[in-house]
Amino acid sequence: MGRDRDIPFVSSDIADDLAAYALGAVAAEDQEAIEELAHSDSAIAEQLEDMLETTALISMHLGECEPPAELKDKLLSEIADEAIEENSLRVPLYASLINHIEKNLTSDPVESHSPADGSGSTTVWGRISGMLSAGRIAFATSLASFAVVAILLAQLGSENMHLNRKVADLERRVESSSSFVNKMMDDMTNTESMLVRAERQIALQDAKIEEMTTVNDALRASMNDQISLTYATLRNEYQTPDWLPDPIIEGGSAYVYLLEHRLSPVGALIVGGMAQAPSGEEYRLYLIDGDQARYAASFDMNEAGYCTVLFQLPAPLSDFDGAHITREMSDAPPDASLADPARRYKPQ
Amino acid sequence: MAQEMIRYQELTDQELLSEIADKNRDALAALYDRYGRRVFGMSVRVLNDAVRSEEVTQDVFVRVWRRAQTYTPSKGKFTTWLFRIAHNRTIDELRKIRRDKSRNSDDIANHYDLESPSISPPDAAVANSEYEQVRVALSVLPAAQRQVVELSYFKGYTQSEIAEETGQPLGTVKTRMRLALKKLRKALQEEIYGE
Repeated sequence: MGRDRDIPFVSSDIADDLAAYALGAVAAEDQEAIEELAHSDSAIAEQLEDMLETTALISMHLGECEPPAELKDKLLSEIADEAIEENSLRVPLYASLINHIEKNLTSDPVESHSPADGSGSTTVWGRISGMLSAGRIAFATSLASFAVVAILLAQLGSENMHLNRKVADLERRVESSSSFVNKMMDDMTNTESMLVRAERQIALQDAKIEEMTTVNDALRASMNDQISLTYATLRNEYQTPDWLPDPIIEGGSAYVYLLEHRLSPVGALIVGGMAQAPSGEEYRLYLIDGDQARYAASFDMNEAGYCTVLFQLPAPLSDFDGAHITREMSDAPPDASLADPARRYKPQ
Repeated sequence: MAQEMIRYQELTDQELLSEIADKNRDALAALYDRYGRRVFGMSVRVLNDAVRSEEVTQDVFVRVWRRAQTYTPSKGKFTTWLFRIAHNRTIDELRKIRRDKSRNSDDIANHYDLESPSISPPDAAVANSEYEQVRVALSVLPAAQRQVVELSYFKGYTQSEIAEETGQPLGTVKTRMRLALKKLRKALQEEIYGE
């Protein structure tokens, strides 16, 4: 839209009408007259186009607004329905044409076009029948054949165009479907890659678990070493009575050492590898003298499964001939009757 | 037979229209993507009714679908043709509303602000901002000329109805329209294109 564009001269009266038309102010019944006027004169057409460009410019700049998302689908659905209706109309039209031609070729033209309706119409077929009656059969037949072929060709041409469009449309859809299938294949490949990656992750996790187990074993061994070190250190000042096995409990991963200070009545209990007592419970050490059991100490394991307790000995360890460990409620007083050998701690 | 995938959004308006004339739905979808917002925006601005504007927008593109083969580039720009269809269809709707008398005339007159609940406030703000250019261009017109443009273009009055409404002779109304369009063209070019 150039500002300096030269618009051919059009009389003011006509230009007034064109302006009203461009603004949509001409009543429907008068619009056709203006359109015909524009068709008949290029100067008027150019003037009108110029005015329509101005109103279109207004229309285009009233502000964009996003229509509802479903509107596009509705629009495409409506034109798809139209295409279906158009196709359904085509078939009967074609069939009726063939039927019409067959009927005229096989019946007596004079009889079939007798003016039974009183119209006395002079159709092509009427003329052909006239020629037949006049004995010009060959010419009439040729003319009829030509007419039939021409009609058929026209119809077939139209059908062909329509089919070509349908084929092109179908090809586009096949193309679109192929893209979709390719995308699905890509997705499947991606899924396989994800599975391979997941398997690798699982293998890595397994390796980590194995490594952790090794570390755990090493820590446990280290803890046992620690117990042994503590025991060895204490052995300088502490002694183990002859009657006690060394260690007194050994089984599974558990070790319990019981020692007595060489100069004072202090006992030392070194425990490792036992589980922590459940909440509200604790382990208790009893020393056995014949059929009597005497409470000596309570203890529990730390998180590392290790415990060292120093406790006041009720009597020199040499006065006793055995020891055992029980698990009892923390808030219950030590009960010697619990020192039943059947209740002894049994390493797992 | 493999066909090249057509990137419709890269086709010109004329190429799209040619495809639409061959009943290519993808081409119509691309044209809708390109102009649907403007057609809907214009219709909402004039009708101030999002639901009716949806119908109008759908009708406009169905008409393009049906009449694509009738468009001749030598007779004018595609956008002029498209928005002519769009404005005519909107005006028809406006006149139908007025005939029904089911709406208050104030609602029809209020085309300056988009207040439909279907339009999101950000959309309305952007649209109003763009419309400001047209408002400024309209403000250049003398009051009498601006009045005939508003009554015809925005309210769908015919020239005879405007003559009756304003009490002016029909010839005067039409002359004002012509002069208004002439000035408006220049003002719009300055506002929109900065020419």
